[in-house]
Amino acid sequence: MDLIGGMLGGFAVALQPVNLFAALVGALVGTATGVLPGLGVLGAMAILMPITIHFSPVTGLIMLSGIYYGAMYGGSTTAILLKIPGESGSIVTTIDGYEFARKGRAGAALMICAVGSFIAGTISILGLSLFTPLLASAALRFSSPEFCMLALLGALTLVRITGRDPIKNMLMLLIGAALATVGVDAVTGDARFAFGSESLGLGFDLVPITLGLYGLSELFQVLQSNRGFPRAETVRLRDMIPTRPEWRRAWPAIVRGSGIGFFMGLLPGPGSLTSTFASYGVERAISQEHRHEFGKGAIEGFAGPEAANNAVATSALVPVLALGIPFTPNVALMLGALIVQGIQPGPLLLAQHPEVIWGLLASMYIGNIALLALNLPLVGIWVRLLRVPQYALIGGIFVISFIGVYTMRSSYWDLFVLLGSGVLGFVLRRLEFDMAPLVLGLVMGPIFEKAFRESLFLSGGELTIFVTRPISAVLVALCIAALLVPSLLSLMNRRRAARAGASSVVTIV
Amino acid sequence: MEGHPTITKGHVRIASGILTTIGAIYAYRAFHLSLGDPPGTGVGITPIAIGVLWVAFGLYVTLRAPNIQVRDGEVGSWPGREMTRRLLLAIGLCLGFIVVLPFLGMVVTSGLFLVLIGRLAGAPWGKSLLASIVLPMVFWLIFVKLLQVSLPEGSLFEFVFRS
Repeated sequence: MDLIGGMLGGFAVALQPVNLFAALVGALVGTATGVLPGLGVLGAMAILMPITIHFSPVTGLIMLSGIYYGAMYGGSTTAILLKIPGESGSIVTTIDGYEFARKGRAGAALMICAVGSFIAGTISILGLSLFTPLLASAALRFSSPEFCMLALLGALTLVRITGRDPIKNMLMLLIGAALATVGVDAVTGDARFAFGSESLGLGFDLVPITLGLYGLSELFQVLQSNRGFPRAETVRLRDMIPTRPEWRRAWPAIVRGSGIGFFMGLLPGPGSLTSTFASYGVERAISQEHRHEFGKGAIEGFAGPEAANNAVATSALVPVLALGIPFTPNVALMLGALIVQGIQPGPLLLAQHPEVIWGLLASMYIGNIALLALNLPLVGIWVRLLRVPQYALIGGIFVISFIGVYTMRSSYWDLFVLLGSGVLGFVLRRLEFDMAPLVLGLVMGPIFEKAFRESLFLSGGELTIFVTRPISAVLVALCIAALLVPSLLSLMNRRRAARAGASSVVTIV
Repeated sequence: MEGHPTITKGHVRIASGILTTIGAIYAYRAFHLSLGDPPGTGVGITPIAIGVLWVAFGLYVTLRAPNIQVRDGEVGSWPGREMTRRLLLAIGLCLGFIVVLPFLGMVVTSGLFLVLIGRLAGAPWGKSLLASIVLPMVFWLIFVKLLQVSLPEGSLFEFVFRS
């Protein structure tokens, strides 16, 4: 199916009333969760994922992706108005976006971010529409060894890049992968780590664990401190129009941010955060006239990173749609949603379920326009959302979480898993263990194991299969590089610093 | 102002020690699983690799030389006494929800839970009660009527209405 034919078919799917409704609801719910500090994109997606399984696969996926990019949109609102990032991708926006708002230009900052997000989203969706079929057709040449190494590469990159401590990340990744091995093996039917329990035999589901680690643990955090949400001043619509010089400075940064975000979303690792920092760095480096304004409210300092953040949200879907391999926990959850619906993601997804991919892509165009059309007039409502009493939100989120998890498998055991994960998440986050590698381990573990065992079956137990096939060998080399390069770079930097320190001592002497 | 007990590097070590012990048990059980024929195709190979690496990395995190750049106070802090009480109450309420759910069903259990969690979150009695009546009805309409999902009705009510 060609691109235009595919997109036309996609629009026919996306414009069905139920899908249109799903895109709008997802985008609005996503924006709301992006605005509310704390819950985060992953928590919101995990809470609503059980609801999406009651719809068709394409409708469910459209709703989830709406939540995903809606939250990216919404995160900038609190970053600009309150200096609180609604989600991690908005951290950079708190620097210059907040300072710009303090100059009395909060409305203009919100407008620049909204338009920037729209442009970035549109550019990224175009890229996604072009790249996904290309990558999927290239991936048809991949076999089990390549998928095995690709899964390993994604996991290792996340471990090395996220947080401050790669060793702790590795531990979390392994625990996630270990949890995925519990239950009856799909190939042989052998039970692993079930201890005779029927519930353990079914294995751990992704949703209660993710929802517990991200959603419940955050609710416990809010409840124990009982601090409530911070308050923000309402922004009037007439204050939202940026001046012509402001636009002139913003749009090149938006275009550059979109490009940076799109390409970083294709790579393994937490693209959202890194792309915003990369965009900020680029803007600061190339700015000559306004470099002194960075950190004090430079327009380029938030227009570029916000665009990058939104571009990543879309392009991160390329690997999961084309290869069936997620590089971030957010898209891992989308992969989980597809698998729950009985759809096996991978290179054949486009051929077997074109309506899912093209419908999703077309819905993103519609969702993006809807976000722009709704978010600017609704900015007052988003600000007022922070004034809703905490008890009304918390109680409702708790109950929706319980109902959602129960309805996935009608299992009381899953509710205990949810609560246990919530407590574990609360404690481990205090001890500075990152939860993202655990979630990714839980999703990547089975993909890796299936591909690994198939590879060894193909080779008769010979591990050399991973290095004798060219693509797989390149991926093995990239895995080794992902493991070693950051350590080598840090060692070289330390040596350089030590040498510089020694030479300065000599000079002083 | 309530004091917050500091999280020390020792606490991180204890947590990592517990995780490593669980990893060791996992690895021990993994070695009893089949490796398959040809070797590596069975159910045991991945758990063995995961278990061994889990223990290795766990031991490293537990025993590695403390980072002298980071002082204990910089790791973070535990909740204070009042916060811990609130946290334990919240966990207890969640546990109560799960235990009571099969007997009282989703609507009644949600109502009871919402009153108590509302009070814990600082809501006045009137507003808590209002939320406990309105929200379960809204959820019931969404899940049961709109999404056609089967929610637990509660064995107690089934028993009462049947007899």
